[in-house]
Amino acid sequence: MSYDDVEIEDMEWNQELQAYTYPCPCGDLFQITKEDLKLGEEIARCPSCSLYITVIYNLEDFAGDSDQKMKKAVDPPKPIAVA
Amino acid sequence: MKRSELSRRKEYIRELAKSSQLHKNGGHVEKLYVHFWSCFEHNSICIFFFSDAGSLFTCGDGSFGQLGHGDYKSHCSPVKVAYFVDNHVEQIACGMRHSLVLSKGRSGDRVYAFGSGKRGQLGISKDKINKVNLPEVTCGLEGTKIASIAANGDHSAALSADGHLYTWGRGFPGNSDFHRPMYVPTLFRLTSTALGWNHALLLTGNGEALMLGGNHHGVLSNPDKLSSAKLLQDSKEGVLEDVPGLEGQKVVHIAAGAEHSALVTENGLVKTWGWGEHGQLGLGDTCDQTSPQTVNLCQDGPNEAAKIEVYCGSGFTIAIRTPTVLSGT
Repeated sequence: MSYDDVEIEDMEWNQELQAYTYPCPCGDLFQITKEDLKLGEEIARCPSCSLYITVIYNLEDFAGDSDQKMKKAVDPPKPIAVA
Repeated sequence: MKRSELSRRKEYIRELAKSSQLHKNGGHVEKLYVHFWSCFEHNSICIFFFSDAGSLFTCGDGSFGQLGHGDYKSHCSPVKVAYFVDNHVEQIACGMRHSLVLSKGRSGDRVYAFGSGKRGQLGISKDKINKVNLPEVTCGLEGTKIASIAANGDHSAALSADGHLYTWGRGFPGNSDFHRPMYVPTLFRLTSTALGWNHALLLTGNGEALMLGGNHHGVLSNPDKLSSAKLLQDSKEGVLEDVPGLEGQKVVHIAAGAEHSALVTENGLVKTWGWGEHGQLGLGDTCDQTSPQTVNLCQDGPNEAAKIEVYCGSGFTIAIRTPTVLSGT
């Protein structure tokens, strides 16, 4: 059972941890990475205890990123089979 | 929390809590005594000091404006809060991302709030407030003599001199958020209050302990109990309940951590309950408890008369035992 529901806007980006964080009642931080969010993951875990929170966010805000867009531009168009 | 992180913070707090410090303030050296301090630990510590003139100094994380300097900067050493230069600061309280100040002056008592206001914890407006970085007056308490203020998580509370409780901020389980102080009716006059992140403890003048949000207390490690507590939350209003299991013993002192509670009975027993995963209940295991259990303080030596106080933080508890001096000794 999730300890709390937290909106992504209320989480803080931690440069050292490279993750969005929110205080855990044990004194450590609930953490979730951008990669997790891109994959649609919504659980932010605490490294020090069993508690976790549900992160509320729009997948669209994280799903498409500049790397993917670049790759699409660079890849040659695939030949389309015509029956 | 990692052991090294905990000891680093303990050391930091020890340094700051030294009995007096000389602080250069615009060329005038002000002797700074730590009269009262409060902090919300985490990756940021926000510690308030008073000088003997009733000034307020803050330091730590300021990204929500909770240092009250008019910006969102963080500070590693105490900075005077200019706003209170003409007021006498009496008490301070820190929540997760907000701060409360009780000031006493000729125009009466005032509660000020600054920092994050998303859950109404500043109590400064009916409208949704994101954050403020300068002190603003909490509405609805003007004209009331305030005995004490409290804050933790996204909750705020004040106790009036005549023993009435006012709460604002995030609703306790079963209640919605309140953006302005709300009077919480109780049968008896209250003498103290302690806040957690999802509960509140109250102590009456008769030595009875009451709790708001008790259904959720001590069930964090049990997913079944937690989900049935949440169902109960949806079906009825949050209720003020007696703390169970005390069997008539009077309570003289209460304390609340983020998700656990502690009290001291008139017989000098320390009892704890709530979340126990980090050993914060001091009962020798990491189990949660839904009602107060006696802590064995392992007293060696004679059983002398002593005053016991207990304090709780996020995942830890401190008990201080002070032998009372016998007359004639």
